[in-house]
Amino acid sequence: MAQEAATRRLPHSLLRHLRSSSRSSLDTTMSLTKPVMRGLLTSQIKRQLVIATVLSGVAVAGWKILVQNPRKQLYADFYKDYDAQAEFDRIRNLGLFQSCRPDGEEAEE
Amino acid sequence: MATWGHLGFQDSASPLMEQLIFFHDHTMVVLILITTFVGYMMAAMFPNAFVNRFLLENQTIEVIWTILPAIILIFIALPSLRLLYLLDEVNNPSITLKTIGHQWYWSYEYSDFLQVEFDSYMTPSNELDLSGFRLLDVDNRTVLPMNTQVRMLVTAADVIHSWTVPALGVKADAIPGRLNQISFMVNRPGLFFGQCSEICGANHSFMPIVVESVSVSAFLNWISSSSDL
Repeated sequence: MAQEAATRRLPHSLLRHLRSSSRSSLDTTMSLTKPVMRGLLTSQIKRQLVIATVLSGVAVAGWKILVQNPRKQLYADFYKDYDAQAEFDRIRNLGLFQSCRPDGEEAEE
Repeated sequence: MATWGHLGFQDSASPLMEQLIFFHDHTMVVLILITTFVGYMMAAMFPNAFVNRFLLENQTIEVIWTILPAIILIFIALPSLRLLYLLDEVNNPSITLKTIGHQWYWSYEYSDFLQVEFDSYMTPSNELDLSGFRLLDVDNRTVLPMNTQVRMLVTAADVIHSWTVPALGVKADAIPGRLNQISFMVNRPGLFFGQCSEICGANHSFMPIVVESVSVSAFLNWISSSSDL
């Protein structure tokens, strides 16, 4: 009677399973995983710390590989063979400077 | 110069500004590390409905999150101090330039060899060339030789202003009755722009700075022709 009352409250799918198995095996089919009773916070935090550390490492590696190192390399490459005088002449001949005029204009003067 | 949508630093035109940019990238490493770490920890807490009833004065975590930030700060402090001392290094400037802030323009004095003085007003928008930069162009630019150590003495005649050129990594307040000294070197030719950086009245946003970096010979020609005028 008590068992029938208990089975009446269960979901339909579980009910079919219970009625098909023998009554002596009822206890083994109803067991659940035992929840963590002690130290849950510590174990959870350890897991979260590992994930957070890995994520931070990935983010930092991404910044270094995609931004920091390429920028340093860009500056190194720019100044490696930089000819400041040639660049000055190029800008001057474009007429962008106030203090000195392009070659053609100076010759005319 | 800065253009629309420009988020980061302008390209440097001075070795010190280069170092400042690299230091900023290094500090961003630390910031990204902390932000990602804390951001993930916060996100992980949102779906967590558990409460630890026995958590009280956890000494272990308190020690960890005191020592760890101190160690992290050392990683920021050491490069920062290196750069700080680099910026203050004693160097022998080849040229001294004085700038005086007024309401609302800058005046410059080159008094090393020939006395050259001029005022630098912003070019009004209605007088601007088609190729000019609105609110940044000036009538008389500050001409300086490239690859030359420059000493700049900054002061003001009325209220406090601030002289700055971001591409060169320099900024100094212009305070009446006080001379502030800055030192820099422009390592490539071109035009470098700045704007007054201390609120000084109605036209505070309309007194820009334009540094024209030219070759040494061009600079000498310019200064001798300017002194003849």
